[in-house]
Amino acid sequence: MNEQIEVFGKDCTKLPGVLKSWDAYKELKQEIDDMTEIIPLVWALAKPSIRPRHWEEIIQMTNEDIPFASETFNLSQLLSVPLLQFKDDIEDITESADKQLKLEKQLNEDITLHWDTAELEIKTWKGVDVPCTLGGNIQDIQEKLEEHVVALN
Amino acid sequence: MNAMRYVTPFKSVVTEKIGLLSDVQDIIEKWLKVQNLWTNLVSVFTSRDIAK
Repeated sequence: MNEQIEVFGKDCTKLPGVLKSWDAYKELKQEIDDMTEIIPLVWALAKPSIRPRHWEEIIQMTNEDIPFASETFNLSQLLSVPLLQFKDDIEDITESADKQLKLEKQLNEDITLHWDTAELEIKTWKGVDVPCTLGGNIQDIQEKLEEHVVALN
Repeated sequence: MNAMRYVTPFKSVVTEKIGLLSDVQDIIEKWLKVQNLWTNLVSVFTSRDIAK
């Protein structure tokens, strides 16, 4: 899509000079220029970092009905939204989404997953018949707890 | 993490997790304190001479 629009852009500037004063030329040129700006927005919105909450934000901002959750949601439906009018806000949303995804991964994979599978060793002690003492890996656990509390704060 | 602008969608999860991990830290610390005292003293109080 990117390459195609570049080709259109070049072809358009190569048109004979006399055409350039025509309204049809101006319309065409405008359409190509707009598309050149819209495509990066579409790419950004297609990223996995874009979640329903981001679409909801865009829907509210644009006041347009975007059927993002529909299985038949397609490009022409997205292009019918005046994306360019909201370019800066959409860029802001998509950039935040990338950073949110990074943070979410850190939270889920580095921290939550670690504790989901962590084991606490409780050992027996001399004459006591139930396990009652912490030992073995307890120092590692304490170090990880400290590390993660610092990371979360 | 909790101070970052991008935490907003996960703020409640992060806050909850800080509380949870801090509680576990405190419990382990107290447990070890009691455990150390007890393992040092148990022999004193169970040895026959003192038990009498």
